[in-house]
Amino acid sequence: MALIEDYPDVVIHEVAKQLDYSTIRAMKLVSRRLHSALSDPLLWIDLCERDDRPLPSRAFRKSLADQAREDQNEKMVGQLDFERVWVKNPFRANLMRSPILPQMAEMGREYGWKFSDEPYASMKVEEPPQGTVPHPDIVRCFATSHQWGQRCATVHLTKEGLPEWLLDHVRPRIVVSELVAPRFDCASEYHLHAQLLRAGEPFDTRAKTGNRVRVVEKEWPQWTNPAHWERVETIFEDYPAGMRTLTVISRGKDRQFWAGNYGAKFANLQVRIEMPDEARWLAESDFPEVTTEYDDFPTFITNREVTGRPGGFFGRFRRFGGN
Amino acid sequence: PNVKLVTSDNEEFVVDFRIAKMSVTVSRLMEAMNMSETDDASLLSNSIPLPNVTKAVMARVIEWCEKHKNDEPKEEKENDKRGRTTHVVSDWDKEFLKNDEFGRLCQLMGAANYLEIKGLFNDISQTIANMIHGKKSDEIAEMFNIHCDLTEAEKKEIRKKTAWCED
Repeated sequence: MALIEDYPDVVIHEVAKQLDYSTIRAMKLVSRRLHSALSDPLLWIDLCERDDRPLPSRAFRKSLADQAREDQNEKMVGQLDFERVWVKNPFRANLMRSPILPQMAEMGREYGWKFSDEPYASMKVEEPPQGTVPHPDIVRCFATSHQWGQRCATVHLTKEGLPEWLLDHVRPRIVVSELVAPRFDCASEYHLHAQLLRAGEPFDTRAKTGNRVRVVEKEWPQWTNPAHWERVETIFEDYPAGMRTLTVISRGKDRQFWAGNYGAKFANLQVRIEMPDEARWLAESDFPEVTTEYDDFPTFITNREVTGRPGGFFGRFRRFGGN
Repeated sequence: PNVKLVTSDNEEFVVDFRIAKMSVTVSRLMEAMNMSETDDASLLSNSIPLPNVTKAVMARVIEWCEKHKNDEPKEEKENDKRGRTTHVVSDWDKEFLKNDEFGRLCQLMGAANYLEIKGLFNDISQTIANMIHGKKSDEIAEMFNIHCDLTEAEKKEIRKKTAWCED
């Protein structure tokens, strides 16, 4: 009884439950016995439950298992890897980085967010938001000015722990939402542009429609009083196979060309995966790409870093810079 | 009243009934053998065989039980916002386990698991976890005194399977 290897799995599991993932991963490389004990889904399901990792419903897991068995060609498909779910927590309420930090430069560094201009003349972080009815969930917000101020945020869906087979064969709904508000004393507008992209594909600022393009536009007249926060929500479903990242551009401005930050405000951007109760198993060819329609003119300042190279969804060769 | 426990190396330990009851395994065995606290004859005429525990380990287990025999059955603290229960190793327990070398700790943990003494088991698993936290696989192998039976190709495969964690 001298070696931990002689003990039942549960003993090894109990030690593992006190450890972080990098140490557990190191333990898996110690021996065959430890590797097999630490690959037991029961351990990872336990940990997911202990740490409140949201999981797809039991009904979904069951229907998934039924369907996945029929797919003989691919391996590691149709099976949730609970180890990865515990580490990455991909079904959590928000895949976007949060909260809004006091400094825009800090969010650029920490979250990889990109802003329309530096040194951020046209928009700023406001704490607390001015000229709106306070919202219990909002501590800080972006407040835009008389020219378009925009924030571009990207989620790498697979890096966040969503398996590729899930994105390609199940294609769960992807819900994007944000809280938006005007200032009560100034007319303003807000746009949300969201696109699902293939790996390495640039955001196309001119795309307006298509099954992987979502555009929401809002406008407020002057004297919208009281100026309440409202949730803007858009949902991706039945999108093509091969989507790997989601990029969301939120932008706003005032419509009276006032000095200061009288434009639309936005905060609490949220991206979540909505898992169905019944797993469907789509073929690659299901829900093919719907032809994207384009604006004739770029509707807003282009963030050069977003469209890092010329091109569109179908390789259209168009280049346009900031205005 | 006392209970006789016999280890794998045939050493007999005589312990208080309450101490014996701290082990779920021993409790169950006593029930199965119709031994009861009020029936001295049943206790005298029987001894509990514990073929998975050696004399040296048993002595340590009993020492721990003596210290903890008056503990309230305590609920694991819910600290951590996420509702994770964290086991807190008391100062006495830290001191108690401090001088055990790693191999002995593992033996103790095995015994605590077999005897089903939850408090002791939690103490030790937490202590062992603290000792290997942040270590690399060869360091862990050395501490556990395990000879690695994985080939380089297998290790590579295992790393590849969990490569997603480096994203």
